[in-house]
Amino acid sequence: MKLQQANSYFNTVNLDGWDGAAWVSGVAAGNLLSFDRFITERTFGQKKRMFEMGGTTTIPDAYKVVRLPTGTKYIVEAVNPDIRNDVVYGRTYLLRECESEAQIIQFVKATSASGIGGDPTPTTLATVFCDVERITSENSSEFREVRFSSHVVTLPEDTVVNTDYQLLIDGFYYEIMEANKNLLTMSVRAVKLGAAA
Amino acid sequence: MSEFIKPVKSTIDKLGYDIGTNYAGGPVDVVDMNSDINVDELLASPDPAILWEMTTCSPAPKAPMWDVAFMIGAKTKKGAGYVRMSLLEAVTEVVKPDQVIPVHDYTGAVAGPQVGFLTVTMVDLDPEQGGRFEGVRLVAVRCKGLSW
Repeated sequence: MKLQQANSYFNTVNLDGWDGAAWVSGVAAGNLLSFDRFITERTFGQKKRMFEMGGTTTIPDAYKVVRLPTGTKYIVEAVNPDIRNDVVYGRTYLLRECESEAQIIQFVKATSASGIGGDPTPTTLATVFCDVERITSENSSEFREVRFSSHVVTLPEDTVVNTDYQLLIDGFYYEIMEANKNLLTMSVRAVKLGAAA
Repeated sequence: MSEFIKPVKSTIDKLGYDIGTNYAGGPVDVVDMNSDINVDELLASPDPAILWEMTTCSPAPKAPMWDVAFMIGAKTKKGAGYVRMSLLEAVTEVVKPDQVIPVHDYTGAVAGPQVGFLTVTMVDLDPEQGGRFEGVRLVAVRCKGLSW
C-alpha cells in the first residue's frame, strides 16, 4: 500500500525499550511530534509527545516504557491505528514523560501466635518508572486542620498495585487511594504521606 | 498497666482469627480493624470476613481489675443477610455471657503464659452499619478482667 510506504518514510527516530531490567536498543522507529492539539488535557505539551509509526510496525507490547536517543523516558499511554480503506497504514502512539521512579511497597507482617501479624515491615515489590502530578489538596475527614496533597501517579500498564500498597517516590511515601487501568497505563490516585525515615 | 493491655489485644486477635479460620462453612477472611495496614482490600472485597476491634481496656477501679470492651462481627457483600447471620452465630457461639477467656500474650512467635482472664458480661448485637461499612454487622462485647 503506497500510503504505508509514504508514511514509513518518516520513521526516523529510534526508540529504546525498557524490558523491566535493562534498556533494549532500537525496538521501534517512527516520527516524533509535539502534542499540542487538546487544550482540555491537564497534561499536554510539556510532558506528552505523539509518535507516529508508518506501515505495519508497532512498539512491541513487551515495552511499556521507551526512551528517546536524547535519554528522555516515556510511558506508552495509548495507541490508535490510522486506517484507510479498512487497511491500517500507520499507528499513532501517545507518550507521557516519566522522569521519576516509584518503588511499590507492600507491608509484610511476620505471623504471630495470635494468627495476626505483628509490626509491618515495608518491602519493595518492584521499582517502575512513573509520572507524578499533583491535582489538589484535600481536607482530612478526621482533623479539620489537616490537609493532604492528592496526586495522580501514572505507572506502566503491567504494574501490579492495590490499595494496601504504598508508593515510595523521591523519598516520600504515597498512600494509594484508587488504582485503575486507563488506556495503556495504570493510573493511581495517591495521597502524599511524608518523607521516608 | 500496659503489661495487660497488649495480651488482651492479642487474645482478642486470636479469638477473631480462630473464629474466621475455623468457620464451619469454610475459612473466611479476618480483619483486625485496629490495624490500618492491609485491610483496605479486604474491606472493599465482597468476600465474607470476620472483623473485630478492641475499643477499651481500662483498670476498674484499678489494676488488677479491668473493664474491657471490644466489637466483633461479620462482613459480607450487600444483601447477603443470612450468610452474615450465620457468621454472627459462629461469633456468639464462642463469645457468650459468662464465658471465661484466658488471656495470654500472643504477640510473639509462640503464645506466652497466661497473664489473666476475661469474663464476658454482655453480648449485644449492634445495628447494621452503613457507608463504607455497608454489609458489616458487629456484636458489642463487654468483659470484666483480672490480671496477675
